[in-house]
Amino acid sequence: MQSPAYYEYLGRPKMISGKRALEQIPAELEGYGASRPLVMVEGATPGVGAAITKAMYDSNLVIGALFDGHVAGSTSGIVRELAGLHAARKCDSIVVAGGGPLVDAAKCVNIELTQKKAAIQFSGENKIPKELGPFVLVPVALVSGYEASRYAFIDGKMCGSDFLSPDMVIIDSRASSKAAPAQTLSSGLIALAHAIEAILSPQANPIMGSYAYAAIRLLSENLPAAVRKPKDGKKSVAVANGCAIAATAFSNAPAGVVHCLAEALSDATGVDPGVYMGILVRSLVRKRMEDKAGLGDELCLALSGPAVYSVSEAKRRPEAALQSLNSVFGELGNAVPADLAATGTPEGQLGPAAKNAVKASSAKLSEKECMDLLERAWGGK
Amino acid sequence: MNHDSYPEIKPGKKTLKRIYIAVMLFIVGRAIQAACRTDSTVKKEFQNFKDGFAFSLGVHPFGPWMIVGRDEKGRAKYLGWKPEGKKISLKMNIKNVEAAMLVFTFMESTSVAFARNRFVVDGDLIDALAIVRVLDLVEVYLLPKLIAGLAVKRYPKWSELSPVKKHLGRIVIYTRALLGF
Repeated sequence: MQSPAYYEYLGRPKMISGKRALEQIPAELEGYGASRPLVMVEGATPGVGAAITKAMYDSNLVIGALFDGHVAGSTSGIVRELAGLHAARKCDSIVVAGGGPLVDAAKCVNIELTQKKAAIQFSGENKIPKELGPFVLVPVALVSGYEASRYAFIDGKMCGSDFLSPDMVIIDSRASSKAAPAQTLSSGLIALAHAIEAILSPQANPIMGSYAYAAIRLLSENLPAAVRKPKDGKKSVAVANGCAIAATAFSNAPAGVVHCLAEALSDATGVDPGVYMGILVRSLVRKRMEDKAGLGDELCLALSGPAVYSVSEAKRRPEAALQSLNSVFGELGNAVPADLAATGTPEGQLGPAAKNAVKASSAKLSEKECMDLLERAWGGK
Repeated sequence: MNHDSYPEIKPGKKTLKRIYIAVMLFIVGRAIQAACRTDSTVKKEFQNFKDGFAFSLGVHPFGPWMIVGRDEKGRAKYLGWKPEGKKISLKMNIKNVEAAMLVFTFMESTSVAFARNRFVVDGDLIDALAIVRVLDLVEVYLLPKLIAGLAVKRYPKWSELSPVKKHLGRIVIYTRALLGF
């Protein structure tokens, strides 16, 4: 392996996963000088709030406030109210258990409290000038793919900063096994797409490759079983690990063509971006196999796994990798449509989606490249 | 937003678990004292510590703890369960009650718990590793092989600890631990 001529990689957050992981929260927060968190949980997920509360027993931590309301979207209004609750109860840290807009709102609360300004003023890239307060993420299902990453959303706008990565991600089956099958599927597909695109990224480096490899293996081996039986603690923890690890890789790679197209299509149609990412990433892998660039040994190893990779001839490894990926989707069955047409997306949406993806991308995508991938995915190629 | 809808929560206590851990620490503390007078390996480990050495093993932040010290003759002495007013050279705290339960119900051995970052050690690491070796040996004496195998890193072979020595030592250590000498 050669070291790239130059690269940067930020390996945040600290990951704590497994038996009695929730009980580590008080000792970890103590390391940050915090003892009075605002705890935010998804109201729709019963049992997680109680599990976190019980995990704090026999500690010198006091939960300043336990917020279990529903957060439909991360808006300036809800962020301001939550920041007010945080300040009124003199909290010094945030613990959030959930995914999607709840985590976005929690991150933006952290921005407002530390920067003393509305979070929307920090939308854009690297606008946050200093470290935020201690922030702990307890994944239930990482449904947007951004929760454990360096991004947050407010009023539909993205804030990107290394300081937005959680300080800790605590993965415990008492939280991760509460996710609904659809949430597990969506989060897994988004993470798988992010990890595959990280390996294929022009900014790929050895550390990113290691993270992406771990994420792809964890998801390939556990996602179908976790979707079938979301209450299976071991599988749900494995998928949550895969999602959090993929989010770290995603934080360090520019958003790829699959991500940008999926987001653009989802914005237009309301279909879950995870479903689009699942369809598009398969088409991307097939397209790369036909291109001169090929899949690369790293991606072949990640998709096939060491057992299949080591017994495959060198020239057959890309096929074996694609076969392994297809078998993962095969196990997911009808949960993931075979092509874009089956999602009910109007064909007329493809052109505008390609244009919007190019606008949103920081990786200099071309409209031709996007349309090519969309047309392949439309036909299930 | 009505702030009263989202209450402040002061943490409760896991009383039964703390009582269980306190009993286990008491037994282990007295057993270390007894083992030092019975087993030559434990005796040698304690003679290697400095004069006035004392270590505490317990649960962060509110206990329970056990404190064992080295007396002027180089023997282990159980010093009780209150760390206040004692000069403790080595503090080994388990980060929370649940992690302590994993150790004291033998679902995790001491060395695995260390590797999983469940302990916070304040003091000389060499002394801490010596204490872990002492704890392993004491657990071999106290527990049947099936359970001790889960608690220790490596169960000693017959050549290292013969069954006769082990069973005789077990009787002596339990007797001394119960009687407190």
